[in-house]
Amino acid sequence: MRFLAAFMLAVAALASCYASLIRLVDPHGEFGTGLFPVVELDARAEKMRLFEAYRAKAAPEGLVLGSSRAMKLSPRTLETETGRRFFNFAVDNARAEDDLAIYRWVRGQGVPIKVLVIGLDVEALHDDDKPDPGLVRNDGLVQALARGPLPEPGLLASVPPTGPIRTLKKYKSTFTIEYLSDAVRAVRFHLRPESRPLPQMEFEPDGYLRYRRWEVERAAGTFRFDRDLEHCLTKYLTRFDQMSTLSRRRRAYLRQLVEEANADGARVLLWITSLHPMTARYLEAHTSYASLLEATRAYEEAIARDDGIAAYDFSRPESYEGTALGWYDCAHIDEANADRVAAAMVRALR
Amino acid sequence: MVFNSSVFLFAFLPVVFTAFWLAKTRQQRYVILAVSGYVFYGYWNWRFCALLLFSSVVSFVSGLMIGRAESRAVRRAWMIGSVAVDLSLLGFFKYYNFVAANLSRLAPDFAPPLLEIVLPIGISFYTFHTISYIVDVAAGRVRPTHDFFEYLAYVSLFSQLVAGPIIRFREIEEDLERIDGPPREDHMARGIGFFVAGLVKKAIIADSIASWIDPMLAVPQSLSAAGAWLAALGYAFQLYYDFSGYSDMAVGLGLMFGLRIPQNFDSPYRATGIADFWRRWHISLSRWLRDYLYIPLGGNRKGEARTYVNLIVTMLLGGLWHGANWTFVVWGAYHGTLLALGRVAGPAFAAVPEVLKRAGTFLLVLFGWVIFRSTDFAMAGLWLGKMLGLGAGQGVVPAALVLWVVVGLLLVNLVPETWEVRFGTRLRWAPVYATAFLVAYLFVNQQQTVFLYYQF
Repeated sequence: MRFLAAFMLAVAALASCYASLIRLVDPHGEFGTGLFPVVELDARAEKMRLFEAYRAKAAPEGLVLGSSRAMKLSPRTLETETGRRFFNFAVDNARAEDDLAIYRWVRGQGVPIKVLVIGLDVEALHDDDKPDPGLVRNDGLVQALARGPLPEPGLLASVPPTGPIRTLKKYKSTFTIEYLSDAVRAVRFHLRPESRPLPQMEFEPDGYLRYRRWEVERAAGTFRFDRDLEHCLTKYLTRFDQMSTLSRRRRAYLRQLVEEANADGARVLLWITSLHPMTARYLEAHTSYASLLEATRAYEEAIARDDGIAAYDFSRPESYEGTALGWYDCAHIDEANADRVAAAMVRALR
Repeated sequence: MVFNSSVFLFAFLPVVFTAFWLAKTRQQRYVILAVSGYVFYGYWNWRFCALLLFSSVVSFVSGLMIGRAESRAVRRAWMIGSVAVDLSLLGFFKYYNFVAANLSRLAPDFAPPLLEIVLPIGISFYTFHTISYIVDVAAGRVRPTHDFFEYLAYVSLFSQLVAGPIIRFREIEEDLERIDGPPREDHMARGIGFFVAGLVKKAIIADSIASWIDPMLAVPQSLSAAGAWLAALGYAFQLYYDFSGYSDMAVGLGLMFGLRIPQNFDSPYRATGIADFWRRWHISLSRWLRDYLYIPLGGNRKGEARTYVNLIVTMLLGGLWHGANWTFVVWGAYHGTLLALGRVAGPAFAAVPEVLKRAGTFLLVLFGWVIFRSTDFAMAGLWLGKMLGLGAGQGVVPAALVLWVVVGLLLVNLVPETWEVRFGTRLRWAPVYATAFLVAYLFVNQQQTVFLYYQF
């Protein structure tokens, strides 16, 4: 057994060294070490930080939730249209539990929300029932989610809001090859700041997304929509290939969010986000996307009927007068199409 | 539960390992191995534990009855009865819907209805374990065990329960009889070495390749000619490193518990003929098919023509064993035909340089993998057609896949098989294994995947 003991000791020692190094470099800005540049934007953590700063100036009355497909919805446009101050709290890969967690966290900051705009992706109700690692790692959001009643236990049952197991899980989630390569990049950018490329994504103080690199390319006339098309399509194909129905648990989380917002006196607007028409056709041909979208529409209508909220189906660009050119990739609209979404929605708000 | 999951690595294995070595008697250790096998199996779906237990009880009792029987006819009756029960279970769970669906196409009026059947994971493997035990007992090659837990430990041994290797009772009987011995330092070190080597193969090589070829094969229409070749090569390496990685981990786990599990792979892509390939690929299955199917069919004892028929039938059924799909049947028949042709034309190739034989064999195996991986004949035809230049898609060939294929080609041709590695057993090797384990874990924790052979 001496060999086994030596092996286990070596694993423990190496794992401790790795965890210490990751904490020191902190490539995702999760530990607040701040010695090296953050190379991978953690939208959840970043938007929480931005929200606190934004609220300190003047509390927003409107909140935008959803995934990266809702990030281009401009708080300024919404403010112009409604006269209310908005913050865009859409985070990447948002699922129903993210929306509920963020809403509760915002309410926990003592900010009453008067208008809640929820961008609903079909896959926000994915039946894999796996919370995004960004949510699992986020202490503030996990604790906020645990503070209110949950319609269905289980989605984050294995993620205790506090305690040593949570700390252990947080460190365990850094043991990935992707995390390690981000740490290496952070060290490289620290040593050679000039090697750092223009960030792909950046958030403005009101949470609005800027695609810096693509914007520069568009201005220079070098932007190519189809550059990462195959990669983008494959990503969505994989996502929908593994989705067979709408998650019962996630539907319950979404309904819980709507009911809480209603109880708080907020006006709720729910809209189904769109994919590029080519992506939609591709997914319809190879996955159950068409039936899943139909089920999402039916569920949205049911919530609208039961809870008296405004619901919109913007799954097709023509429904909000969107154009085929107003896209950055196979799934993400640009600012022009996003303004059309906002305009179509606020017509009902007036 | 899978070997490359956190629950296995950090909960199941430490608990079972500690309990096993704290136990002193043989009986206690049999019970721990048997119970842990059921926990391992039940973690996926506890309901099928009853099926596993039923199959084990039937073969255990049949073994005892064969041992007591005084006439050959009675022994034969018990053997046939037990094998029939095993094959009925396998047939129902694995092939019922396949037969029903095919019948409904041929004779809709007579076809039985389709049922919602969940295939019990590992049923193909443990059924072959119990059949080999019963046949060996009936043939007098092994004495039936009177210890129920020893038998349960053999059938439900978690390291080989769901994806092999297919171990025969006589191959492991000696170790099971001596299971109450103290842990051996060299076994422990080699066991860890094998386990880590398997984890590296699976998590770093096989899963990385899969992440590139799976999206390509999800849309085979878009494959270009180069993409079709790279996907085929990538799949050949993915399958090898996935399954041989699993087998290495099984061998390593066995050694950690004092059990020597036989070799399952021997550098198969260095084979210089199809018969040679089957002596190197999934060795435990090849031997099982040879001893329990090919030889009982008559083997090569009934003339040349019958030998060819036996080869094709054996491989065809071996193909069907992999799954209820015509692509597996055709893949099996393809290999059976190649074996028969190899027998006929083999002498004519005697003077061909070894490197050419090796390349030719690899190419033939590669075409077989295309059929094996395809979900239906349409996909197989499309894929093979693109490889032969018939119709080209617009799909992009990922540079990373090209790199992995080159790495794969170098590895399978230059790096020795795990069994040829002399794993260091001195303490100074522990940090080396620990580093490899940790690096592999970075991949494991990135994305949880299952082993390809779990589906069979």
